[in-house]
Amino acid sequence: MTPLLEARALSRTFPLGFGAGRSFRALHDVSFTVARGESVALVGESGCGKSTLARLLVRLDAPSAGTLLLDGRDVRAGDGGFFAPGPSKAFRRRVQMVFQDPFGSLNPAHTIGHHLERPLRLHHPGVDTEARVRDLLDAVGLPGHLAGTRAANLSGGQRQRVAIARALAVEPDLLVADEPTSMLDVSLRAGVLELLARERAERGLALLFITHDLGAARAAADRLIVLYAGTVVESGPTEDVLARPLHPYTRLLVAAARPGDLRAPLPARSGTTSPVDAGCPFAPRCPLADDRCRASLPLLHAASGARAARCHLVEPM
Amino acid sequence: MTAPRVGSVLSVRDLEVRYRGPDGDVCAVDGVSFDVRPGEVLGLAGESGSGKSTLAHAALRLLRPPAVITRGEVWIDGEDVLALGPGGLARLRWRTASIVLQNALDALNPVLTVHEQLADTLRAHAPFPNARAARLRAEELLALVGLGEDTLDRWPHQLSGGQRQRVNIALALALRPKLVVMDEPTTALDVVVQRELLQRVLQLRDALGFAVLFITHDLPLLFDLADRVGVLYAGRLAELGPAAAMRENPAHPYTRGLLRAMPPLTGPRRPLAGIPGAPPDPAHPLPGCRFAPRCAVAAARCRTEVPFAHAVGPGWRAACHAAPGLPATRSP
Repeated sequence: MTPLLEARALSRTFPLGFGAGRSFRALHDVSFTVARGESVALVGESGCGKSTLARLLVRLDAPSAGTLLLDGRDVRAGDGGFFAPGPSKAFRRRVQMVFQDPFGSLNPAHTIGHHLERPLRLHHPGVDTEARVRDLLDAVGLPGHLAGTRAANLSGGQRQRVAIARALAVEPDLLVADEPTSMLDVSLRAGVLELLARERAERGLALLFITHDLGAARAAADRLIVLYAGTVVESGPTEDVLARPLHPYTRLLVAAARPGDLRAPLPARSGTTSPVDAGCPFAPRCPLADDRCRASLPLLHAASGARAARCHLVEPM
Repeated sequence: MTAPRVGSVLSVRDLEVRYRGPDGDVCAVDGVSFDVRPGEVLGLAGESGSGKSTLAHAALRLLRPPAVITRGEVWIDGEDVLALGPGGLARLRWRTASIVLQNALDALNPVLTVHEQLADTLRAHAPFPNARAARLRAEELLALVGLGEDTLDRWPHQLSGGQRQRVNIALALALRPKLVVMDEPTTALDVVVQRELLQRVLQLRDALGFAVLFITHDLPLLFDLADRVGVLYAGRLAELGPAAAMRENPAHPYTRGLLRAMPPLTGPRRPLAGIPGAPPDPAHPLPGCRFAPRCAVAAARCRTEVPFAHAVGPGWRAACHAAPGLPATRSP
């Protein structure tokens, strides 16, 4: 079956300065799929390219190379050309995003009702917006009277619920959520994760959940994709990857996040996550790296049980 | 109120901190008492607005208006901190007690190299015969936190977040204090960097014997890090006890809620349970227990009567009418 979303060898390179020919490779050869109704978590440390990838997926930014497909068709196919640049309205209805910072993503001077009505009027003209706004607020666990309140008067947790309601207003097929809980208090995070899980169950919404928190990824996602220095180093079913990580970087990440004896040594050290000119980007820190790792970047190859790893030392299937 | 505990490196007694405002005061810390014993790690967990940072700053008298200490006592190593004059405070800070802040850049001067920062602190408190001696001591301090001497001549902006926080810890340890207050020192760091830094803090604590007051929102982390753990809610101490016992069997419903709200990385996958509602507005405090509106086991009494801390086990107390344990006795 055709996946809902497919990323094929996406790369994004940012030029550094003018004309010097130097550039920073933020993403390199990123390929994965998201099936209808599936929940996929994208994890990695700061600077690994998580948010750059999120921006590519909702087309706030365009890849330097590679293709993004929705239902097997290149997302650029429906674009309006020179006079209507940017992603088509149809694409925007199907793929929505929730940003990390609920204080930056809502206009503090506008009411909550205004935030929710605008996408409704644009994408679903003729619908009873007042009733729909109430339904949306109810769905995200907020009282209906908040529709008349300005965003400035809401707490962080309430704002993030509004941001989710706004993304859900147009009934998208895929929600890209970039660290939706990291700015919230601990006691409120679970509520947002619960809300996303319920929307998935009730509406068949697919979720791409970007996080640095492996525990949240485990709670929210069926499948895990681990990003390091702009490349996918490992992917597979969440429980399998966390229980038995294949890539040395995933092993380090899991060991560092796992509760227990803080004095226990880690399998590798922290360091920069910058891309390297040649070879595996993790090789400079990897305890197992050999000459081959420093010479050539391994491919993301299939391992056992729906898993994949980008490592010379992991046996391919 | 009981007297400061003899032999404690930090004693906080019935402390109240208010933020003065045009519409009246907001009480950020409300009658908190606890002790930090020599060489131990005491962790304080709380969400934003719980008063945890205000408390850390109050302990070293670093609060600035509109925050004022309106009641209570703070004793550090036998000295009455609230009675100290400017000279006494200058002697106390860095030499007896130091602080590491969440945002490493806030604490480092951007136009001084690492060496200049360290030498400045060292020379302000202890005379060094010459620049060479100060530089050697600075090198020693960096080695303690796992940084090479090449770091000495760098500027803060050239360092990674983890390296900056290591420099801050080196600064905090420069004058061999008995107490280091750490206010969310690893919150902004990646998980691998955080783990390495905490490992180093524990090793240094073992070697040098200083006590740590560690403040964070991450309760499960505190159970791995601290000897004893306190949980703050809306400016009050909900529970305080030995880390191992509290992890197994938390007595306060808020502590239980916080633990359940953190998605676990190991063990069976269980449905997540957030704590319903939101923390109270400190400008409009409720009568009774402040957690009552969000509490699953709250009774009528909880909404009217402030629960005082009572013992639920050895060295373990909870401020909850429903918590198990000995009959309610007013103890700090």
